[in-house]
Amino acid sequence: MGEREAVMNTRLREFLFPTLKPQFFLRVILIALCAYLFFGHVLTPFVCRGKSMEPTYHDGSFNFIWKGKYWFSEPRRQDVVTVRLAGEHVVYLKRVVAFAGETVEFKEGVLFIDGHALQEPYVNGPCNWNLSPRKVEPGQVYIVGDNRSMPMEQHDFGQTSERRIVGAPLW
Amino acid sequence: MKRNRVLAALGILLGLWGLWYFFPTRERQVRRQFKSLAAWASKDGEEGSIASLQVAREARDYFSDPCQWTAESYHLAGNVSINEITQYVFATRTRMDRLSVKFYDLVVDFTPEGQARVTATVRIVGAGKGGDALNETGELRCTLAKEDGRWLLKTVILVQVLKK
Repeated sequence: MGEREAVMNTRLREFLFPTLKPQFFLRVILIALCAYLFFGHVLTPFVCRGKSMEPTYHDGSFNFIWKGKYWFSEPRRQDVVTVRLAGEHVVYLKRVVAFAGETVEFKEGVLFIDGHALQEPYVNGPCNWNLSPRKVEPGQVYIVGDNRSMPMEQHDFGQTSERRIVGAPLW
Repeated sequence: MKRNRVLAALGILLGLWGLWYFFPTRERQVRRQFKSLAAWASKDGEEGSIASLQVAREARDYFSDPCQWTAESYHLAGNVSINEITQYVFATRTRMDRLSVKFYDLVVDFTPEGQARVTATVRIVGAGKGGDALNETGELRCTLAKEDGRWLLKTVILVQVLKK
């Protein structure tokens, strides 16, 4: 066995079976802390439950919430965002369609913002939703899911505080 | 000598765990109550009518009589008696095959009068006997008061997170 090979073997053994020195524990704590901060506050993994965002996001699909998305910018129309409830363990995944002061209306499945039909290429399937015009209140955004083939009564959508937006899906 | 020290450290740890477990703080008592409420409200598999009724009658372990309910999204507001809650729970359990109730993100604080204020996300998933699926998520704001050693729900508000 060559000297180089012996060194490699030692390194491999040290990697697989590390000596329990204080440096090792410090490294483990640092890695755990970084993972907690990164995956807890920057890029949080989540599993999509429900069909309200079909066909863009499927029931059971995996993704990350990118929480830095709106640190320096505001949500734009047709952005998909995550909206918190009491906390961030369960969030709504919806699309922003209107902002404060705008009027939202559904006519035979077509979404109208301030009287103009919004082009929504992400919506598939038949839709017959009808919703009388309503104005989005100050500090609120209007969010809707992409799946408009489900009955309107079973679909959670509406205006919510923009402060509830916690990020956007990574892809 | 070294062995004695290890045993002493273990004894201290066990004592601390015992204090933590058997003498919970008010906040932990409230959190435990919600955990117990979730387990009580959930149902997994077949359950006879008598068993459903027995479970439903345990509503008084969780709700004050009367309990004030508000759900703006459903245009509901008013006081509900413990008998009405029992009937509702019984009807729901007989109609559902499977029911899972979970609470997330509990934030507990206390008023100067000693009542607990809790904000939480509730997620209810289930399947009815006719095959219909139930999938509801909402934000709750509740008030609990300690009655006869138990934290009971006095008010329950279903927050309207999305307003159509």
